[in-house]
Amino acid sequence: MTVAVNLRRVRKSYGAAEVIHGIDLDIASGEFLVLVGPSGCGKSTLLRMIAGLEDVTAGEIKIDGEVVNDVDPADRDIAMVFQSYALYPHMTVRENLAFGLDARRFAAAEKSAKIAEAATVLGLESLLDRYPRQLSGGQRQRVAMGRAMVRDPRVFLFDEPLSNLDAKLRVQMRVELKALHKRLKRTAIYVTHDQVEAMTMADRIVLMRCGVIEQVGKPLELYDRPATAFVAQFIGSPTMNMLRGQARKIGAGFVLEAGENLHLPLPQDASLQDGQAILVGLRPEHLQIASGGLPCTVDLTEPLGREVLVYGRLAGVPICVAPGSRPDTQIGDMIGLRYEVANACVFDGQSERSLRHDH
Amino acid sequence: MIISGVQDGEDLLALDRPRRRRIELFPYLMFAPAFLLIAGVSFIPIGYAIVQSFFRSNTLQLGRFVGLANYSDFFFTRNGFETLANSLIFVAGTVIVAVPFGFVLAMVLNRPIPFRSFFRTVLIFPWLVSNLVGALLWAWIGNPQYGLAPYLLDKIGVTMPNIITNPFAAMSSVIVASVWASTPLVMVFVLAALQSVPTDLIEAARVDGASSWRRFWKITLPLVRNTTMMAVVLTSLHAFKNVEIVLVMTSGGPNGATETLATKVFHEAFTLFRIGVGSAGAVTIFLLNLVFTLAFVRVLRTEHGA
Repeated sequence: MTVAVNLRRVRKSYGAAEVIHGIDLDIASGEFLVLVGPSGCGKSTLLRMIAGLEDVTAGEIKIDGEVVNDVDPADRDIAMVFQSYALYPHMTVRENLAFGLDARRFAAAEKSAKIAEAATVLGLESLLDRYPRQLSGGQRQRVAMGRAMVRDPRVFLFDEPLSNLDAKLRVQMRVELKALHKRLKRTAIYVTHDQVEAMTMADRIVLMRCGVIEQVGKPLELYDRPATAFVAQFIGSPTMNMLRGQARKIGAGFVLEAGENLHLPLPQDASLQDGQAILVGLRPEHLQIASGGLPCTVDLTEPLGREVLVYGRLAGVPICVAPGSRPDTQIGDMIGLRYEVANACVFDGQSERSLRHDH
Repeated sequence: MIISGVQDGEDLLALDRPRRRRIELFPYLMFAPAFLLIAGVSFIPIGYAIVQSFFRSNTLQLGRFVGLANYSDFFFTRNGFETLANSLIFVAGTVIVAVPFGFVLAMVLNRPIPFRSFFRTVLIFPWLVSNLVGALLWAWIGNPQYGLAPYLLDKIGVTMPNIITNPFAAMSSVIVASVWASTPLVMVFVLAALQSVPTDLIEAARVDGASSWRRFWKITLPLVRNTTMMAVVLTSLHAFKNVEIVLVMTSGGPNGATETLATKVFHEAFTLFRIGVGSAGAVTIFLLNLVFTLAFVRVLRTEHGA
């Protein structure tokens, strides 16, 4: 059974310090929702509140329509995968998997069947009699997932489950986790600080900063139409280029006036006023190297194999270009840059909120 | 620059070749003073006591060789086996009370209670005080004429048995003093172990649906078990060789009811000046402790052997 999770004006304080400032969020049944944000943004605290491991200072958390603020974690019918995996070190893999079932008094036959099924799905059959210390990082990760799976909970909670794995294994586990979700179709809430994990795994992303939600949306919505400059810079790698300056009305349209005599045309749908302080965001891959474009001095090149990143200065402002190819540029070269005006993001200089209408 | 893989390979091979071993003197020089000190105050006296236990001597000089006569003397005269039984009762009494008591204190102090640091500090005190001072304190508390305990019990209409004349009361009183002195060690050990149990594990068990009793029984207890066992061993060894508490409080009386192996060793060697017999007793205590410790280490090893 899959269920929805609803958060209403949820707040959390430690003494006088409020760390979660009134979060409203509806997580649909069967959805894979990713909470992402920098360290200290409150994403883990929020997840732990949903799990019942932290008290809710104010507001309501509902699971399947029922307010669970005062319900013990044991009675919420949730399962959680911890960053440290939290495997019981003195128990074998089999005993680890069985622990939650024993606590819920499953019959021996049903217990064995559930353990066998999880072990098959996760490839743990040959490891059932080993202790956690005899397993590799990836295997431990699988056991942690198995422990959550055998319980067949209504909601899965993941607290940065892949951060302790090396880069290659992380990519592999990312794919497996996503496949597992497709198969189990359970509501899942996943916390990470890694925007790539968020982009690749989420049905929807919730981007948090300092205890508030900056933006909620599908991964590509956040990428293409960031609501704030913070979202724009958090999502995407290499990071979006940001140019600070003033909006200047020239003819029917506006341009950004910045750096050493730089004038960048801006999209028509941005609501701007002459002289308004603004931030313009250009994704590195939206910039093309072309003769006759905006003049840019090359400071550094970074070969990635598939492409060569070019770092330079556009009228004195540092900028990164991801051309999607391997341009033959050297340090100190002057190159020309072009961009599609429609791709530019425009944010207010003070509030840093998007000024584009279709964003 | 070209780095040759062949050269790298050769270097690796060189590591495998047997090298002439150079003896580093420096580390030995560093621990030599400590070693000499320990040898002087520990190994040499132990060795000498072992030698003495085979000789009949009334002074620190060796007399004539008597084989195992001192050992049979120690056990077959002057209630030798009774003192062994008393020792076992004293050790068991201390361990059975001090370990659960220390464990519970550690559990309480591991919770976020008010004035936790204050209690932690205060409860360590008995361990810092020398056994001699502790024994004097308890002898005073239990004294039949002017002690605090008989006075307070009298107030509520209970007559406390005389700890100087009643064998059971005497043994109980030395066990109480020993428990008082041993509990802090257990508490510190268990508290350290409890604090090293990762919070994640307890939280995972909560999410897994385990009750607080089950979390304690299945997660916390197994994870602090080895440390607790270590505390049991140390408490036992400590109690087994304890002399001060019994000597100060009851001097082994009444009528040998609290005479332990350790106090008998003291009495044989320094009251009756039968150094050889005392040494035989001391060697016996040493061997019993050694066997007990080795057995414990073996149990721990087999459990970790997996």
